[in-house]
Amino acid sequence: MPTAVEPRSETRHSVPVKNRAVAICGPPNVGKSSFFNRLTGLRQKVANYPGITVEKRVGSLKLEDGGQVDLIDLPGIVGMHPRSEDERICVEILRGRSATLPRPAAAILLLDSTNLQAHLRMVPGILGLGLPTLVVLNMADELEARGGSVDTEAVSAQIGVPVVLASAVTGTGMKEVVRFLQGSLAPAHKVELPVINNIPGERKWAHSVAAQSSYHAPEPSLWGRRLDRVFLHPVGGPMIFLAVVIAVFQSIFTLAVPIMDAVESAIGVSAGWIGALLPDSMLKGLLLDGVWGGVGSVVVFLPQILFLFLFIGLLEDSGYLARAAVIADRSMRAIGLEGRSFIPLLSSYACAIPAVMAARTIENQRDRLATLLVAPLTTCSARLPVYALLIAAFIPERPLLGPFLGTRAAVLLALYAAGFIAACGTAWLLKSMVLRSKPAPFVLQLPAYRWPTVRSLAFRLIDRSKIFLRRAGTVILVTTIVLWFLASVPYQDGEPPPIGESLAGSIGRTIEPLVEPLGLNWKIGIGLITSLAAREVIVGTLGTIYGMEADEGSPALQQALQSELSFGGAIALLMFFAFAMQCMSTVAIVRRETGGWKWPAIQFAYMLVLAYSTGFAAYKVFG
Amino acid sequence: MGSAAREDISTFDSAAANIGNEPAMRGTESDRLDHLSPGATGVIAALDFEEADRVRLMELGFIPGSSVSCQRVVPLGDLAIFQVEGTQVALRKDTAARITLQPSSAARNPDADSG
Repeated sequence: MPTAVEPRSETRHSVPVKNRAVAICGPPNVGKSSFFNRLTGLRQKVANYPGITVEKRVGSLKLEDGGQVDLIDLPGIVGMHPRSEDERICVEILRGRSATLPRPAAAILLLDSTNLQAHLRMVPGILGLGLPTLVVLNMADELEARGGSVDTEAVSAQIGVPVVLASAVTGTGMKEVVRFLQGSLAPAHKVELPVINNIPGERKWAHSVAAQSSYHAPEPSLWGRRLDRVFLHPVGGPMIFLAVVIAVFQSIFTLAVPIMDAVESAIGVSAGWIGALLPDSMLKGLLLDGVWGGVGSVVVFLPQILFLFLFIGLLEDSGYLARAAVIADRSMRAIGLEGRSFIPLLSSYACAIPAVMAARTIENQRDRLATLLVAPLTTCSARLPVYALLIAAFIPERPLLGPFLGTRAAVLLALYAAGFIAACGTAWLLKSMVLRSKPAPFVLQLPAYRWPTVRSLAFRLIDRSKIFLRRAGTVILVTTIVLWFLASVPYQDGEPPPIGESLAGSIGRTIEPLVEPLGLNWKIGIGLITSLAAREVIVGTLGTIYGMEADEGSPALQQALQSELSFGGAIALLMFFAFAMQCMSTVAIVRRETGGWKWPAIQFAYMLVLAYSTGFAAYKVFG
Repeated sequence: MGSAAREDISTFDSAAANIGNEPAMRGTESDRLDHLSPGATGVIAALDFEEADRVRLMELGFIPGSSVSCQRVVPLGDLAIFQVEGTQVALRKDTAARITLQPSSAARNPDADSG
């Protein structure tokens, strides 16, 4: 039963929060990330899948008076009863119980103005925290377009904190938000909110507040249902999904290749300039063979990776991904997981690290563990440069389905499928043996379909380019330089040795017996070692090794590989990269998320055995 | 909420009998959410889960008193999509089977609670 609570109103009113942290919280899919982007300009993942914002993001906003506010973008919550890891983090921060972040000085509660009755239910819980709070009713543009309206003054009068109708997409109302942050927004009249400790009571209260604020709910969007009719059609739905996936892979090869050629020739031309500028010296060798040859051969793959992320972004932001999870639920259930595990698995196509963290949204701890253990088996974007290089070198391009699917795209698709099947098979093994659990109720919110905004897609691509180039500039650069030194010593008669007699060469020959059963030589063996740092490093390594070996100019890496590797060896190498856990960052994140070395060690060993045995089998079959 | 309707919740048969007499209802409405056919609407009466699961489902909109409509049954008939408290939520059939509806609620009832 609703009872009165002691007023905490002085803390709930608008007060200056300059130089302090302000938390942005609210239910999933109310546009928190775009709102955050709009305020800070800092990149933040905008996704329609509930709970994809698994990491807290902090950005800052300079105020007109010279002050600064740090904004924290919190994961979505549906109430004050957290169940998954990311919800727990959110509630802990809001309550000031987080070990890593101090309690925020104020909160912005972001709600969806097109679904106000339901969302107002969040208000008592958040205001009960006692923080100065601004309630932002987002998506004002959609509310208006679909014929809805609300009296924000009336809402404010009933809940006792300022209320702003805003749109993060168009920018409406954002000035008021900034005024709140500056402490110059007029405070609302004090109101004593009822304390309600049951959800039906909260619902009743929320409906009554909406009714007394002349809230007119917008017309339901009809095209959303029409799209569902198509995308969730028993036959059409899965077929559309398949068609989308094929289109993505085909375009990675057809659309991205001209851009890659341009990047490649730019790197070649710039290498020529540097070569002409510098006198012959060790430094010149390091710059040309080490840095340009190694890092350059990886950077070439940036366009393909950006295409992949562009498509993933389109699928996520449009709301289609949650429908794909619905379609996938039945098959996920067959392997002992649920539709929700599908999303981390899908995002591990980009990178296993966010996928391992996204597994935090899975409430069942055993399902979560199974999901993060199998995530590195799905094909991450770091494998793409390796796959693309080997496919281009060894698979001749022929049309398979007219112009829609060529042999190269088909092989790439098969590699992606192999990763997915291995992930599912492993999940099934884990779930039927060590991680058995009783099924929890499956509930998945389906976000409304939305047009992905250019802004949000651009943020994604910029962010992804930064991550990729940062890797190229750190991990890949360092391993390439180390490798270059190993390949340049010991000096013979004041000259670098032939690569086979260098230190790198002797290391390579030592491990050659290990990789020989896969049809690989010692040069590839060195690549396998350096790629432990990150998979795509092998491309840079081979770029360096073959670059140094070449007498006159560096032969195209593809041609060099064709002369060194048999077809069977190439397939074996592809298999090895499909299944081995060649990524120390993933090992580290799994250790952090599982709280020990046990699971990452098991995972690493399991994947190595799988990779080696499939590689061996492939060489026997195709060799 | 209709208190007359409440008395019938526990008894399947009498609920079914009431439904048979109700001309405004379509198809197979009965007192369980998984029996709601696509296009039909009902009002949630109770949730039969352990506390934590029950709270989660309520937070996602399956609140006693809320009206819920079944939008579609998804490929292969394992999941259904419901519209509840303004959002679309997908539930597995076995989960939906543990949510009971007010027996006389299957006709389109404006919320008795929302005042």
